Amino acid sequence: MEIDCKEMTVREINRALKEAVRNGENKIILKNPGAKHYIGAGLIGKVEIYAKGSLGFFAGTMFHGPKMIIEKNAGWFAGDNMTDGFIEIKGNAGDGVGQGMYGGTIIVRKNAGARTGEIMKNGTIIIGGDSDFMTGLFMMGGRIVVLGNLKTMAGESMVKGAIYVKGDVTSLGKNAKIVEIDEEDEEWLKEILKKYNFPSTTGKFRKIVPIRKRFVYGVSEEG
Amino acid sequence: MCGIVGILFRRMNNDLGSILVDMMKRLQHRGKDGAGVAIYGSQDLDEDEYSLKLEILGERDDRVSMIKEVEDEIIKFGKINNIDLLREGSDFAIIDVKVKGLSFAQLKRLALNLQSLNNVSVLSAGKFEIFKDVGYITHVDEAYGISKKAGTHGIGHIRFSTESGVDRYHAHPFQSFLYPDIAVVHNGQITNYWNTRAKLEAKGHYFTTDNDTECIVHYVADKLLEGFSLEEALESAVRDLDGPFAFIISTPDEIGIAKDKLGLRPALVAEDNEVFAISSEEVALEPLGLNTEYLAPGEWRVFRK
Repeated sequence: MEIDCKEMTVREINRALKEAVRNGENKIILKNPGAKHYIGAGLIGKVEIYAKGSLGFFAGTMFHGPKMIIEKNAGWFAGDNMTDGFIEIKGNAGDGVGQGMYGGTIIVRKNAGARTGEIMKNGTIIIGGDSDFMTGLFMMGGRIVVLGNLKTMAGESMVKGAIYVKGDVTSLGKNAKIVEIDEEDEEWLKEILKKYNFPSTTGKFRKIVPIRKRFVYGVSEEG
Repeated sequence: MCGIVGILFRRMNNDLGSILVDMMKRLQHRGKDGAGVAIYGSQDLDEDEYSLKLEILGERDDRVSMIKEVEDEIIKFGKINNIDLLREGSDFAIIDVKVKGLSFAQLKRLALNLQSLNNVSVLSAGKFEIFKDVGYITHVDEAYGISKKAGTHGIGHIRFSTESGVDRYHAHPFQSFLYPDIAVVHNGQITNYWNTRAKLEAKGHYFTTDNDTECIVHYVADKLLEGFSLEEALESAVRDLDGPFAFIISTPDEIGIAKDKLGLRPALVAEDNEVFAISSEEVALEPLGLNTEYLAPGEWRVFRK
């Protein structure tokens, strides 16, 4: 089915989406989404949504299950706190992609803003281009893959999880270190990049992981 | 929260006002405390002619005598070409005075003198026009006819007040009386406001409000007066100003945008050969149909006609 968002408020669009899912729709096309905010907030269920343009802030926030393809850009906090599902952004994304996410997958084909994956707990984020300032800030789990460059303070105060990067890393944040990837990582990267049609993995990835798991307390976790 | 927009056309555009207002309407959800614009190229003024937008507070009878006082002050500096009543309520009036036969240095003195009169506030003084008021952009547009204005470039603000009063005087844009036709709109907070203000006041900058945004315009004006380019001024603003911010500065020929080092406030830009536009959110840039780009933390840009 199609929903023309042009003359609709955010609340009307989200109500229409929820109703469509309740009625068993499995494919919804959002026409003229007009970079509106909160589209798909809290949507639960197995449904495919195609946004024919840009979405605003909090696109797909608190998703549990839906798949959403955004044809252009997404504003700040795409996939915020999502627990399950899939979001693909074909253009650029703003700050805080997947902040606090618990599960699911987010793909950004071009560049992402600052603080990608901030306090994420689980799930996967793949950035096709660069990811800005403080990627993985306070990261608590999950995986971020960046095919381009990572800007300053990557992995700032991360305590768990991993950031895989193919390009340059301008600088690392506190408690972050770069290590070589192992075979298991390589296998996983190969598989996931193939699955989402990213260019073949020529060039070596490196991996950013936390130095210590509870660094703020000054307590050694080891042993 | 606040919403900021800016648009600059390479050539005169008859729809500048309506485009600016539409962009602001699309950001209305970012605040309900006030709205304002600075527009360039909308007035046909002689070289020695300037426009003053003044707020006169008081009951109607008191206002008549206040306006007389204002006129007496103005004629010390130049000739009054025209006085328009832009807006009137039971306890206020907004007038537009066209003054001729004075230099910018004299206009500066005149603006400061008028500002010192009781119940008189200078909302804008220069070749450009600032329209600002409390309420939604729709209301402010209805009151001042912004969407009918032609021009080359302009900036706009949707206000969500945080630190200072909610009245038209504290609405954005703010200007400096020391540098001609410079204005700022801002989303965020300047947390080293008092220190910055003290330094600027010591150098002779005149603050009309206690709004933190106002210190940005004086900061940039100060740099421009020292001979720095707008690019250099923005580069040092990002270094010297603390707190979360994204602000747009406009001058007679340029629009500049700067974003704080931690990137805590959003700003996007879009451009082609004819137009350059800035907004807090992509939703305001949609009608232009251009590719958009988020500014990185600490990034600044300048665009010229």
